[in-house]
Amino acid sequence: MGNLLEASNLGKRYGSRWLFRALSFELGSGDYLVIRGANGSGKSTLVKALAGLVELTQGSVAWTGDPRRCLGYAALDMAVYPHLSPAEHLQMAAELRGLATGSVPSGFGLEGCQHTRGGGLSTGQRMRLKMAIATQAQPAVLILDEPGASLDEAGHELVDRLISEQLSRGCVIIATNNPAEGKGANLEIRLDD
Amino acid sequence: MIEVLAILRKEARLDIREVGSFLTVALFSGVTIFAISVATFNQSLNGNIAAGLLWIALLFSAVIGQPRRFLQEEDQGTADLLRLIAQPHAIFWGKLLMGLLEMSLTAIAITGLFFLLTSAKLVIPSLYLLGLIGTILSLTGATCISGALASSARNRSTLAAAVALPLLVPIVFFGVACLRASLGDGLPDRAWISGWGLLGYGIASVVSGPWIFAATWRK
Repeated sequence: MGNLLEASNLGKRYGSRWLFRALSFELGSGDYLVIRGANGSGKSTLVKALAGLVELTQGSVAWTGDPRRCLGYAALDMAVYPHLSPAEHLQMAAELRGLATGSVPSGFGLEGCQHTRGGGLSTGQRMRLKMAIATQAQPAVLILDEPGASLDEAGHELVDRLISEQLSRGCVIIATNNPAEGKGANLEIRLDD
Repeated sequence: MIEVLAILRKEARLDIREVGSFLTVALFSGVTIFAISVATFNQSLNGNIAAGLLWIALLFSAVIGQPRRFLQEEDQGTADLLRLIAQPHAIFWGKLLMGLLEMSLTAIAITGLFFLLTSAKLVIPSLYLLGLIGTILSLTGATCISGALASSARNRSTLAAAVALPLLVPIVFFGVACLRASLGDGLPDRAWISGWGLLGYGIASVVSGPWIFAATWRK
């Protein structure tokens, strides 16, 4: 199977400081990349760049297919609409992605709060919602930024399950500082180096 | 079409639930017309002045209400979510349609209050209607473009106002000329040309808006 994501010569500079530079890699089905580094080392910037949410100073990222469906991204610092409920978020996302159904999936722990507006959700519930949106279209590439940072024990099990399911259909990229996360990864980038 | 409707539904829900912004537009429009009626009480209001005053109310209602739709996505941090799941054309059209709906309701309310509370007389209704439709289209289109262009910038609110200025100046000229004649002053022949010009400007801004937005939206 061909590459699902190709990153070539990636570089991001703020002022005179390079967060990362000349970074190239390719990910295929079953690949699991973990990005580690100290606070401020550029982990979140790198995963945002891979998702197309940050403009790079140099280099390019290529995915296979329509990014709305082939790319799933969830990050702690990404906001949800404070006046929309999880059910409304998922319905809107499904319609925008051209999916047949946008119901609240089971197993994400959102059943009890599916009609609570975003502003009334806890940080952990919001992260679960973002992961539900990210995996809604069963993407080829799943990118998670600090997925376990706000989650309880059941939430960590959910992340493990999502990664395991994702590896059977595509690849996973996670950015984390938690040594317990990304243990099964076959590729690692350390941004302090 | 389903994508545009999804954005339109989201915008409608947010407008209904975040009542603050809608109330600001309603309050501004209502107070402006009421102030005009108090200031001109027991006096005849000629077409020149009436057109200018009516236009100020319409213009500021649009400037207060429309660019916020685009700026707010970046301010509250939801722009990234939208970038991941939506096409820029669908986002622009959905927001524009909601803007047109809100601007139409505002324009109808302002018009009704204006003729109810002032002594202004409508002389050429068809010209007034053309001017109002052109005004709604062009004001909404221009203010949405200014919001869309500025949404990714750091000082986005300031930039939105700066971008809006050159876009709005021609609309003011066309719009005032058209409404003035429809209220009994000015030359109707020239006013009809202004009315069609206003409508053309509105259609052009609505059609070009999605392309302008798409060019600035992706990172």
